[in-house]
Amino acid sequence: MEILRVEGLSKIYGKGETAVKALDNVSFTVNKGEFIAVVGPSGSGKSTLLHILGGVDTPTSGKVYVEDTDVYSLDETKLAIFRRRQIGLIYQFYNLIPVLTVKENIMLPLLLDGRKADKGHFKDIVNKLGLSDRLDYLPNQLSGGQQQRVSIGRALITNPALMLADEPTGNLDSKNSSEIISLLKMFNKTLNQTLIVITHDERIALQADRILTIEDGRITKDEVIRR
Amino acid sequence: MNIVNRLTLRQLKLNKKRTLVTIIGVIISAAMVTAVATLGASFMDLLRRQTIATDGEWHILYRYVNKNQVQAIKNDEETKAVLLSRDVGYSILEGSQNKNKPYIFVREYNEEGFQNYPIELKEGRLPENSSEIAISEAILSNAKVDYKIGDVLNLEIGKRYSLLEDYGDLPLDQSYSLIIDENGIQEVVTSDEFKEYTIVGIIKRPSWEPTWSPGYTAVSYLNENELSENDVVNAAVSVKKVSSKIFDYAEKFAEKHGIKHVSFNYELLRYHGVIKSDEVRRVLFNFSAIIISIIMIGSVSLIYNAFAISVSERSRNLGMLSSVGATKKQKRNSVFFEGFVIGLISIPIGIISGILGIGITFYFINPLIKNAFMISESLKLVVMPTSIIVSVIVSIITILISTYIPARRASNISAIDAIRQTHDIKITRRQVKTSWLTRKIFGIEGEIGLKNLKRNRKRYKITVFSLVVSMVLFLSVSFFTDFLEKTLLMTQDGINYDIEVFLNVYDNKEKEEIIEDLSNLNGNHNLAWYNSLYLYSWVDKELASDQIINNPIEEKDQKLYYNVYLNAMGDEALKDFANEAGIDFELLKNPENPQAIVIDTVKYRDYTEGRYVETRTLNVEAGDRINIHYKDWEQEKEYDLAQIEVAAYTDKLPMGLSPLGDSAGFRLIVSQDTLDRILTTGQDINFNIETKLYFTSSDSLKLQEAIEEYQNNIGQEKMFVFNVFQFRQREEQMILLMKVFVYGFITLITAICTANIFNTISTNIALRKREFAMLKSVGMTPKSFNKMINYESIFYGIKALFYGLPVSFGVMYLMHRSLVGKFSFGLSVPWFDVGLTIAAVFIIVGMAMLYSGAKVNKENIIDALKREII
Repeated sequence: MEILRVEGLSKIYGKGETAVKALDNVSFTVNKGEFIAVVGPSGSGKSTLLHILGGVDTPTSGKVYVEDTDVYSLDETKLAIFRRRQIGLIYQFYNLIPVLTVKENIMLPLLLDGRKADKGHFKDIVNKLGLSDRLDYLPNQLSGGQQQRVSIGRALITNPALMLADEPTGNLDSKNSSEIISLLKMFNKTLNQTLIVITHDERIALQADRILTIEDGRITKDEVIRR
Repeated sequence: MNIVNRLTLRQLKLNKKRTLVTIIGVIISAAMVTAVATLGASFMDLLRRQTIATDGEWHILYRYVNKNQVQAIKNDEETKAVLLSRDVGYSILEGSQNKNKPYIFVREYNEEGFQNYPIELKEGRLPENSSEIAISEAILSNAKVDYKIGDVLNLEIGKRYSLLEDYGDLPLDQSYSLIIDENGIQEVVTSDEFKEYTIVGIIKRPSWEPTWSPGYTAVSYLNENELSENDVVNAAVSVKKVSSKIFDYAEKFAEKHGIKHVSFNYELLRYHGVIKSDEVRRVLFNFSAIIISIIMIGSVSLIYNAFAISVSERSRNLGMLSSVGATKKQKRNSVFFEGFVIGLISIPIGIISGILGIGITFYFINPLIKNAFMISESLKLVVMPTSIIVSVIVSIITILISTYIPARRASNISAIDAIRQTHDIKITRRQVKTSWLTRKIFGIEGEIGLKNLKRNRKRYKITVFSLVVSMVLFLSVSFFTDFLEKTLLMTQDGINYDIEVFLNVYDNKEKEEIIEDLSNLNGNHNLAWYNSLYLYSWVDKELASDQIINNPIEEKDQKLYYNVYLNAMGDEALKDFANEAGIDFELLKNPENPQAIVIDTVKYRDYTEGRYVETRTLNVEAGDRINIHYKDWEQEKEYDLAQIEVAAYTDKLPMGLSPLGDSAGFRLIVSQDTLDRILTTGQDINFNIETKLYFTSSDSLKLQEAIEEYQNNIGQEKMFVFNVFQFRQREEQMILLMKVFVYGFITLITAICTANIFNTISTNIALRKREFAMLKSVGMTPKSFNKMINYESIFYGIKALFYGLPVSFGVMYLMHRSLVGKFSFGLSVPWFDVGLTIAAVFIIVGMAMLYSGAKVNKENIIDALKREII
């Protein structure tokens, strides 16, 4: 089942002579439950693509459909609501709210939505992330790996249509990195969660179902990994 | 310039807005200090000039000095001018119509004396030799002696001596009024010399001639070259440089030259500020110190905050500097350098704008000041080098205090700290704990808002502190001005006339004449007059009100003691009043049976209950009888005066009379005939009758002028004129004047605090940009974002009120307690101002939050997220 369709997506920074094409007419589709790795050199447009998919940056032209919703036809408020219900974003630097506890950080999208969490779902996620005994901690009392797990929890709590991760292991040591990737993979498999991960790490990319290679704002390769 | 300072400068330029806020803060603070100092100096100058205008410009007075001593004083290098004067003496003023002023009093001045003593020429010229004279205009207007310029006066001049023993055998001067008793004038004037004077000018009555003096002033010329060896004169000296050494100096000088009598013009010296351990100076000094400390507290909290923010923003830079080898000292000095640059720009601008500001204020308030303080001089802008130096020093100290802690913090920033930026994220769970209720009531937005406040306690506290300072200042000051206005209303309570005249005349015939004259004065006015006597009564118990029966002053044979205020009125006014009270006027004129209108409604404050009581003190009907008695306190004798029949009772008051504040007293209103009849019973108590006249007029100033002109003609001492209307106006102007300064001061302090709040909140929000972006990336809508910002403002406001209101009420209570001794009324909170303050707190915080929040809200999420990761 198709969950994401990208059509002719372009993003140009700046104007005139200094204009830089970060994305140049990118189109692809993603099916539900796919695990996609996006790779490419620095400045190739990976992060821009991810942000546009997540509804936090706007494209210069082109369209993004998530579950048949034309994301960039939404107004700001609707876009924010779309983000909190349909998108789970994971950043390299976790971006947790320092004044909220682990539990509150994970629940944040639901709290913003004025909804209560499904207790079973919450417990399930927390247990899988190994955070059950850290729920009342503040982010600055956690290690980097733990913080990243919190941000995964936050991305998962709403059962989003898309989970997007921007170099989720870029700031972690190799042990923590592989743990995080296993977790992401596990959620991908057990919850059938669609997952798009930007990475520099070839070992991570090779664990994906499909690898998109971006160079100079264009998809140069789209390979399906067969195991 | 070294690299660290260059970097600091660049940083200041980069953060234009914050630098500007800091600069404005220092400017306001320097301007306020300058304004306070200039205001003080200008007021001292005003008082100095006013003193000179009334008493003349001199500092030391050597009395009874001879020719040689005068020469010594003249030759002294400290002497600027020597004002010589000599009292020639008294002479009978032929034809004086004023029985209390039978003399002409001649005083001589030298050239400098005429220049420096306040002598105002009205006509002609001042005397230029010792046979010329200028006379006081009162001789023409009051004594009614018809002298003209050019007339020659032949005076037999001498000294006044009393014939009574009480006065001793020294000659009397102008401060003794004419000694007169039942046997006539009890003094003589000796005949020491004959003098022939030509009148060359007419002067205004000099301000130093007391109203009760028996002699009209005339001034002649003192030629020091004509002084003989035995002549003595008074020498008043104005010195070149006034300092606190003047006292020792003058005394030593007097000793050296054998001068026995030295005195000083303390009034003037006080306003030169050279009297040590002087009460006025102490009060002035304390007052300025308090104001300047308030300014400093306000500005330090702003400036400190600005520097603290600047350091925390620069910490990455400072850390980098540290990693390439900047020493602690270099880092610390970079903050002091920042302070130096800001001071260099702000202090001069502040001083100039302070002087300008106060100058403009003076321009507008000068008319008010003249009227409110009843002075002739106007306030001039006096800028003293000391004021400027004080302002510079205070501002420098303010900046130094403000930069000290940030500088120390800067010096401690290490490379690794800076790169990690750990400063802002050190929090514990307990610190940001909020109650579950918060989320229930305010939602997640409110909870995050509150936690954000709690996270950075220091900034939170500074913001709250700034708010509290402004609040407390505003409220306590408005409470104080409210209080003053209320006391003004209180003292004016029940006053239904514009001008009150008290007659100082005890001859019935003369009284009648004066009353007759005054009622025929020009000008549209109403007049009521009273001959009043203070008596007492023993009233039968059945005629007393319950109030008094339960709580009598004294009880004797079933009778209760009452104070009685007997007011006799003129027939016409009484007729009107009788009509108003609904009784037959003729009853009050019956010579056989003295009758009175009783006014027994009193209004007093019950101290045990702490409230005002308005009650009747009697329980009388028409026809009841009241005995009245008189006590002669001097001779300890009591007289039974009469039995008065109650014609009616009323709670209305005729013009001029105010409600009694006496818990056991009443008024009896009678006709003048009745009073005369009561007093013919044999006792001479005429001297204790108080005669007062009350006027109302549409133009009270004009009426006052007419009354005063009349007063000049019959003699100053015969009546006291009190213009209540003008007094009321003057008080109102005083309060207005005070308000101008006080609210000006508060506005500026509030400006500092507002700048501080803007600074803190906008930085606070700017530092959290990334967090906001993150919140938005997980789906916070713009509406929720605004909600969060609004809640943060509300929490700031609530916290400020939480501290500010109790502190303000506390201050009000203390002020009330220390002030209430004078006027007793309950503590009343200026609720309107409280409401205003509460609104202002939320408006200030809300604006600051919205302003900074709007900027963040517009920002691109990705830009914000990326910014600080780099």
